[in-house]
Amino acid sequence: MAARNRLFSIFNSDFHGYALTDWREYMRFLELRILAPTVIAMTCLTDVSLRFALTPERIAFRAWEAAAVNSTAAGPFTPNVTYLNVRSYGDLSNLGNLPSLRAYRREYFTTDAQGFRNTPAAPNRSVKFVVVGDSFTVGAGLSDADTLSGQLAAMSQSGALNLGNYRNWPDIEKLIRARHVDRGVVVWQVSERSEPLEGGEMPFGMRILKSLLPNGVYSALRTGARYSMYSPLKIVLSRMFRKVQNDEWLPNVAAGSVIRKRLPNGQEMIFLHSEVNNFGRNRGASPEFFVQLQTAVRATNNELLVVMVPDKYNVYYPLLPGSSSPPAEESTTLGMLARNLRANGVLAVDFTPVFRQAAAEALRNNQYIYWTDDTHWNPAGVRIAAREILKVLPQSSFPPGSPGSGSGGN
Amino acid sequence: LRRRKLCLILPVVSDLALLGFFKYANFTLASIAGLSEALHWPIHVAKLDIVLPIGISFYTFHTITYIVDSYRGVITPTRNFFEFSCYVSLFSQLVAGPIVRFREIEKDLEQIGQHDRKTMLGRGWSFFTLGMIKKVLVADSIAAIINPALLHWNQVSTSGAWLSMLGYTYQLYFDFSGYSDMAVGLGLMFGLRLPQNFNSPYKAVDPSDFWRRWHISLSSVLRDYLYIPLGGSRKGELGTYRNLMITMLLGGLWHGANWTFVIWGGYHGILLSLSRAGSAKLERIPRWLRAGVTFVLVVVGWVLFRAESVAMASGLLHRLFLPTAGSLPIGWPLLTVVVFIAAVLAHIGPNTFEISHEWGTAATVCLVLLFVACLGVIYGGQESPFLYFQF
Repeated sequence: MAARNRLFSIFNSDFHGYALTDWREYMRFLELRILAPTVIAMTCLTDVSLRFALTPERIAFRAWEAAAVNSTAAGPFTPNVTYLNVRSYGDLSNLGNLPSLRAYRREYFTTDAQGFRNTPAAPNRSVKFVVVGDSFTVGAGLSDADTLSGQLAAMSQSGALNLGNYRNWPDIEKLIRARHVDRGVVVWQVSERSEPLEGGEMPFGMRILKSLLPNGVYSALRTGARYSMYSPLKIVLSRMFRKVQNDEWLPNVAAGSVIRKRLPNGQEMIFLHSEVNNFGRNRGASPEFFVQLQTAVRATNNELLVVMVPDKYNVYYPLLPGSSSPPAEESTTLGMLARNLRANGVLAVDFTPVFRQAAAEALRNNQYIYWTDDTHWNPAGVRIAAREILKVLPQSSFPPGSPGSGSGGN
Repeated sequence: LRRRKLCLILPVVSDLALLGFFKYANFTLASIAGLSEALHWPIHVAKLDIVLPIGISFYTFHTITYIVDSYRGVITPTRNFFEFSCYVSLFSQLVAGPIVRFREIEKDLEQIGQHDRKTMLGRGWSFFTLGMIKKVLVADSIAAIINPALLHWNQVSTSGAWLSMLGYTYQLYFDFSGYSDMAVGLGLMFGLRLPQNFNSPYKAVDPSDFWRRWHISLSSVLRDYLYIPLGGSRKGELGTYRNLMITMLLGGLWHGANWTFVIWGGYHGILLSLSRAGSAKLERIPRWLRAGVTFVLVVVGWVLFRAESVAMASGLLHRLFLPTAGSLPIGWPLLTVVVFIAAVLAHIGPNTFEISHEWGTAATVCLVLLFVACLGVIYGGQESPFLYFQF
């Protein structure tokens, strides 16, 4: 009734009187003690609702974040994802807020039913390679076909399984047995920058939770934890801020976390601050983990191959103008670990020398083996790695004809 | 009587020992090592891995003033554990003050829940909003520009150094007084009236006036519990200067374990002594000139306060007073605008305790919009984990 009266009052002569009373009534709420807490509450509400309304793939700058938020306990990424980004760019240009140095690329990212980065076509072939490792194995910044497993599969004409970003051996063993991988190779990739080198286990608390809770509950908790960190409102606002922090209007504070260097051909390359700081530091990694792992892998009737991916700074250091000669290969963390592993009978290859040489050769054609704006290798770098892997595998451990065909054999 | 004395000395000493250990152990060890090296007799001193407990400087002072006031009979110690723990660890001022004396909130604590809710909430939110605007929009925007510049302090030009140091001067005031306003606002929302900590300090006309206006709760604690027990101004001219110097040196050290803070305290001790010695002559100088000179002296003091090392302090002072070529801070046009606004507010405008906190419609809308901007800055200003979620 009251509403109708008010509506009619517009046509009445006392319209002004009505409007004024109404206005005054609302004025009661125009007080800081009501508005300020309301603003805080509204912000919280917006934040929470945007977490559900704006899915990660809509605002991520690359596949990794888009696919990582909704992972389950079974795998590292959201299951059954197909993500395409034609203007994906590197982690370092993002970290340092350096849009001018972005190297835009197309990124096509597919995951299987468990959330590993495998295309549906892959399982049809009999799997001969199981690649385990970190973001290098996953292929951060690469499209499906360019990943290590993708290129290994293409070169060897066999199946290759990408288990990147997941290093829990008991689960991997289960997968190997479920897929009947036999007389194949488990390629265990380690990165120079991971601490510890073997990639580290799940944090103790997480392991306890995982063993105690039913799978569904654990997954839900994990998703909850991820979503508590994922705030689109924060992301959008901080992107606006970073636009203004362009070293013209405001200083770019993010630039301090990366280091920019110029190659002899004039190309600027970005490096991770910690890679530059850690360069030449020998961390003295122990081979013990891998020796035990080898026994476990052999129990599944497969062979273990440990491959070591050097930091981008380690690869490009000799090419940077004014740098002194790098430390001898045997005295570096990766070089020493590789030697120790081979002495213990574990197949191991450190990509550092091959990569350095390849980087120098590629540079002559103004080409690179790591992305200029990312910590990771590019398709060319992966190709060299895949070729090296096929080269070092002994013919005997492998069905004849397949592995050596690309590399010319021994 | 002896037992009474013991009840005073024992807790005060243990309080100070805790503060001393957590805050100054490494500083003392490093200083001993430095001294031994300077004397060509190097001793190897281990660095202790100490995590500073949150707010220790403040609750140490709270308990000390509480004990001393009980001893002096200024307050009757409360029998209510809730009141005591609320006084010592009141969250709104735990991290950065103001330092509250028990007698200042004793009544409010006793009558908690009996205050006029509506008025207190209105004032509380007004204080809180204004404090947040001062802290986030003024102080933090200045910091965003001058911090990167002062990181490369040996590359700034003379004008860049002045702009940065003026920026820092206002940053410090708006940051700290903004924070205090927020603490006062939060206190009011619960019905607790916390004391005023800043009274337009940059309007001060001489150094002692400055200390009556800057971080009032600290300077009054130093006055009542250090300067006066030392003898204050009753020990003759020389005794007074000595007491001033001791108070300011220790007050400087309280701010942090670094020699720059000690030098800063000493600098203000000298300023206080000098202005005391020449007070009769200074009176004849026009007020605006005295305020201007005091302000510049305070800015010079902030150089010592801001510098991370003695070398940085002397380098910055060199750049301030001897024309040096170099760069301006990135973002200097914006810095100039913010510094200008801050200067007008600090030198001409009223402070938060001088206004009525009754806002009209337009003012309320403006404040709410600024408050929204604050939330935006807080939200967007910090690195979001998503930007670098996982390697």
